[in-house]
Amino acid sequence: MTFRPGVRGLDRRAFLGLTGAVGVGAAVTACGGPIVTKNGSGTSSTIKPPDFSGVKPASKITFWTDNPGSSQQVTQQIIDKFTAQTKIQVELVTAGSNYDQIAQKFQTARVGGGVPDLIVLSDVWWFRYYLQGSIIPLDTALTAAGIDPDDYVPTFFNDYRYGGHQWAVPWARSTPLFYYNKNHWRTAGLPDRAPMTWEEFSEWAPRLQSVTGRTGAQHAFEYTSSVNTPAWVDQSMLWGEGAALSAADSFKLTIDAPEVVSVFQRIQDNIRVHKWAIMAGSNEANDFSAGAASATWGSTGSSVGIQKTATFEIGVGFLPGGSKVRQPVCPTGGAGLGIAAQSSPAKQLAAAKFIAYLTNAENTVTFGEATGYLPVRTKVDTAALRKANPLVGTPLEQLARTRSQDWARVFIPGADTAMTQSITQICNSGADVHKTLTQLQETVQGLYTRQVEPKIS
Amino acid sequence: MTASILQSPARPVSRRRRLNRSSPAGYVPLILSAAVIVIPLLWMAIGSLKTSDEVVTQRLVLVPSHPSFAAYQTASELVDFPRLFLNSFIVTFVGSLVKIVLAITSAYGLVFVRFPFKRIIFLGILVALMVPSQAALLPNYTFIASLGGVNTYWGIILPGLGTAFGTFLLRQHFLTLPPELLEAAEVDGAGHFTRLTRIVVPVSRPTIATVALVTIVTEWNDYIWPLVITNSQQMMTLPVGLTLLHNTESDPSLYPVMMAGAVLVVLPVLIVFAVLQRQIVAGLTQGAVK
Repeated sequence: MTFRPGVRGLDRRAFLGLTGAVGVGAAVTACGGPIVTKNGSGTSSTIKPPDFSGVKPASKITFWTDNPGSSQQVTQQIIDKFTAQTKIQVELVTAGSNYDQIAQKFQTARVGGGVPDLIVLSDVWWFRYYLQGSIIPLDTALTAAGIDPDDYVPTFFNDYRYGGHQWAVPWARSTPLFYYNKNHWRTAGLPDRAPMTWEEFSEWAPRLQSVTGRTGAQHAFEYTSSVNTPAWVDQSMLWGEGAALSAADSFKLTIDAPEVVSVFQRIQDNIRVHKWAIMAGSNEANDFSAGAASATWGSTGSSVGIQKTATFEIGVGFLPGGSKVRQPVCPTGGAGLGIAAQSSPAKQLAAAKFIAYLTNAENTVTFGEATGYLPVRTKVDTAALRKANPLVGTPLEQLARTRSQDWARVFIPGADTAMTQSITQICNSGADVHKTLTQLQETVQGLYTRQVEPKIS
Repeated sequence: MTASILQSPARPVSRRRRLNRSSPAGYVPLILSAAVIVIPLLWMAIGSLKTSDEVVTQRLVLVPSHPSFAAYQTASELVDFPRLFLNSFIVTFVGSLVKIVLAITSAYGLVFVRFPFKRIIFLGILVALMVPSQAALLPNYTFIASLGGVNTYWGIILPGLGTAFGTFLLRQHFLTLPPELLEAAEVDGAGHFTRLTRIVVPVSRPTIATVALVTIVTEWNDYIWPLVITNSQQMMTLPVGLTLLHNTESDPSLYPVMMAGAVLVVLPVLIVFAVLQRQIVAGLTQGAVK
């Protein structure tokens, strides 16, 4: 117990940091995630990637992750190989059990100290770190670490580009899939494939619902539960109808557009009028594995766990298209890796070298085998992957049909949480769709005006 | 039970006879309340022996068809349990010991030592009891972090040491002790320390055991503070370490593993309770009959 108060008591800076952190804490309760409180390194025009000439990589770095897809063991194995080759030690820290927890911890560490060198960033979080200046532009670091950007799957890599810089490198990336229970399909006399369009599935679903007495299912389809960010996959249905949450590559919101309203009205009708669908209570992957839902959609990252648990034959397919757009209607998701701005250049360089190793052609496959995530490199041998996870072929082919997500969801802090709330109201409480989406548009517009606009203009 | 109550005014029975007459209906609330507490724990223990398709299922699986410890094995591969146990043990042992000593001495001071502003100090302690620890989380964090307490044992233990609950409970108990007991010792020339250790502590054993039990259980199960103040796996306590078993992506196959982890966390608390409960039960009846 070496406690000596007053040795480094609260000085003025620490106190200011504290008040900042209180603001963060208040925001956590308000919208489920810290808000942007500070603009660290200015706008994109003034951003300069750090210069690594003459810098020697540090011998030890810290890596914060939430172990997406139960990846702790496989990540540690890759780290051990990396340390044996380069003598650079990487401390793997499980800093939370989901992306939000890790983000909150990262925010607290910026105030209280103990910032990691390398951190996992989900699709909805990295832009906030960019706005705060808490991650570095990676352009020079990637060059110094010998990474060739052209080797990465373009949609995955370009998801992290903004203002002419690269802000993260794809790592645990996934796409949603359509999962179906082959036994239930057979009982209902359906062809052994996923529906091509939602139109087609709305004909199939009543047939599935009518045989639930024999299949034991409760619903033909389960929509994403409120804990699993429903807006992510719901974008797919919007895109199929030519709608979107925001106009392409812009912050112009279109959440209350008539096409968006009609898609969510259809979802609500399927649940409340036709009664063949439901919004999952806690987890659609569980309910599907238990046979309570004949079909669902969800991340490829869940496919390994579902296969371990389900006792029936699982079918997977592309996400169904809409009446206007057949493809691409599949969003990409998952997490990438970023390097902390508060870290030293030597550690940043070591972190970049580790990113290069962790995401190289061999390790991205090893990682994918263990977790169900997709390889992030183009020149990979997918044979081993297909052997380890028979379902992986479909998402690999689906990669060509992917589309980058709407800025309204991924770039505006707190927008995803607000969307989850509105979707839950529409699905579970039968809220008026038009009214709910108009309110959502206002909320997200407010978040943009307050937190994003002042920092990018 | 209702029947016996209705009958009693008509045909008065002696107190002893009524106590002896055991009614089967009397067991119903007992069994119900025990079930409410035990069944979830039992379900968790059984679940840890199941395969994941027996946990994530629409059927009710009471007994696993192939009970196995595979989930425990997976859990211990994912998490360094010996290290977590050691951390939890150190934090709980040191933390509870200091807390209990502080509670006993401060309660003694509040009751048996004469000094000014005693009531105001006691009021202060009561106020502290009303403030939830969550409210102090952030100031505590920035303070401890600025002292370099992140990922240290003292950083985990220190902020929780002041225990208004223990002081309050022991003070109330000490007030019930007959003053003659201590006056006699004082006449014999015993100082405060002797009076505390030779008289007050021995006669208050059951109350101290109660405070000890509550303190140990709270320390052992504490989650939010150790979660905030540690980020290295080397320093995590057991409840925090359990988050390592959870997964970002929906992974239905992990449920037995999480239940196995939870069983490992609960077990030590059950053992402590088994050891201390004799003291507590003894304390409840002690002094009931003069």
